[in-house]
Order: sequence, then C-alpha cells, then structure tokens
Amino acid sequence: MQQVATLRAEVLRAAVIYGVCASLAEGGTHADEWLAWLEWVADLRSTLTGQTRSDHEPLAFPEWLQDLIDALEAGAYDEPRNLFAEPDFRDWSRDEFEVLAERARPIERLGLEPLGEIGDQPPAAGPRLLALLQDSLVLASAEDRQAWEQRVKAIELLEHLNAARAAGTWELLTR
Amino acid sequence: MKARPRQSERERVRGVMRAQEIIDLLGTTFIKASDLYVDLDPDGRQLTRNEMTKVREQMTAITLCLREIHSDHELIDYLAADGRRTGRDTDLRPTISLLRKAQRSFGLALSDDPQRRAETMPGKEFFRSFEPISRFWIDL
Repeated sequence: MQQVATLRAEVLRAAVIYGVCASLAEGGTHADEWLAWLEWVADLRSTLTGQTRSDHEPLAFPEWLQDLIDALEAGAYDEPRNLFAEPDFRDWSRDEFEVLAERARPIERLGLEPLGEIGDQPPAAGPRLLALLQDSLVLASAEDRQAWEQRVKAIELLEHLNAARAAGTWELLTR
Repeated sequence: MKARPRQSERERVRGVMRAQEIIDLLGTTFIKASDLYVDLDPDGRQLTRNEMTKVREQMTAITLCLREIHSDHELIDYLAADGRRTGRDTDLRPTISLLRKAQRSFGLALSDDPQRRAETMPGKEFFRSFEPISRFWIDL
C-alpha cells in the first residue's frame, strides 16, 4: 500500500533528523551513538530516493541542522546547543508532526492503524516507533519547559530504530 | 511474625497498582479530550485564538499521557488478554488508538496550511469511534 510506504519513509526521515539533532544537543557527538546516527543517515540517503516529499532531496537536512553539522565537522562546535531556545527546531518539529498526521489520515480513514498492518515482527515495532516520534515532535514544539523535558532522548529513539530494523519492519522500504 | 511477600507476589501487586494508575490516567485524558473534540467539531476552519489555546493544552495533555504509558505496552496487552480470558472487557487499546487519532487531528486543526486543516478527522468520524469506547468506560 503506497500510503503506508510513504508514511514509513516520512517516519524514518523525521526520526533520523530528530535523532541527529537531539544527539548533537545532548553532547554525544564523540560516542558510538553519534556514529550509529551517521550510519542511519548514510543508509537512508541511499534508500529513500523518490519516496519522500517531492520538495525534499533524499534525507536532506534542514538548513539550520546542516549548519550545526558543518560547524561540528569544522571543529567549531564545542558545546551542546540548547534546543529549547532554538525556534528552528521547534518549528521543524511542529511541521514534521503535521506531515506525519497528514500522511496517517488516509490510512486511519480506512479503519487501519498507521504502520500496524505490514506484517511486522514483532507486530508493534512500527507503530511504537511512530508513536514515540509523534509524541516527541509534539513535546519538542511545546513552549512549556516541563512538557519539553518529556521528549525522547536520542539514545532511546536509536534503540527503537534499531529494534525496528532488526525486526524487519522497514525492509519493504528498499524494494 | 508475618511472612514477607514473595517476589512474584510483589510484582503482581505492583502490576495491579500500575494498571490502576494507567486506567485513571487514560480515563481522565479520554474524557477531557473527547469533550473538547465534540465541542470543537473541527471542519478545516481556522481556529480562533481561544480554541487554539485549548487545543494546544489538550494535545499536550494527550501526549504526556501517551508518553507516560509508552513503556507499559506489555501490561496493556496483558490486561486485554486477561479480560478475554475472564469475560470482562479490560482492553485499553481502543482508547489509546482514539487518543492517537485525536492527537494527530488536533495537530492538523492547528496548522496554518488550509490543506492540512482539511484533513482533520471530522466530528462524525470521531463520534463513531467514541461511542463504543465511552460504553467501555461506563461499564468499567
């Protein structure tokens, strides 16, 4: 089902961008976790061609995030960024949530659970990742600091992504 | 001297207490979210400032609730299976599913983009899912 494939591609793309950004902000850029995020970026850049929104290059980063990554590579990024004070991240989170919601609606209308019917093993890996990402995008765009603090940390999101990949949830993406 | 409860008994008690917390949290969130949804009846229109404030608050409340129970999926699955075994409906998953739909639709209702707002779940569609779930909560 094309709508499901499109939603999966959007979920992956948003999850990786969110994860890279959260990882940068949490200061984990020299750890294995950061390397794992870069690996996800490389994987997705090679598999998402043509499956994301037409106004995006495959896994193109938003400009503000690319600036952060460029600064990191140039050695000019020496402390974690306070994402709460970063309106670009908040706006991006809000927009991404809307994109996911918009993509999920045609599937909802059919009476199906978005990402819940693709033969996942275990069955809940896809929906659980979508849920985690949705919640975190809402909280990342919240203006209330206490709500903001409840968003998912990069490492937890990475574990869910890896679990989904291990479960074969995303293999259809590359077909 | 009273015997100390065994590990499995402590776990059972902890599970029962956690289940009750989840039920209370979900029930309260569901009632408040449904009240607003029915009242708002989103139809793709641009919301007023007052409506937007209410929707944002409710969307955050739904999200915090769902985030709070995210790691309890095994317990929630167990409750559903246990209910089937004992003939009592204790399946919280339809409520969680409807809260997710409401969360997504509240997000779309807040959008600046009219095309996205037009995708919001209409009140009628919400109500079709709401009816059986509200009966579940009354029976519970």
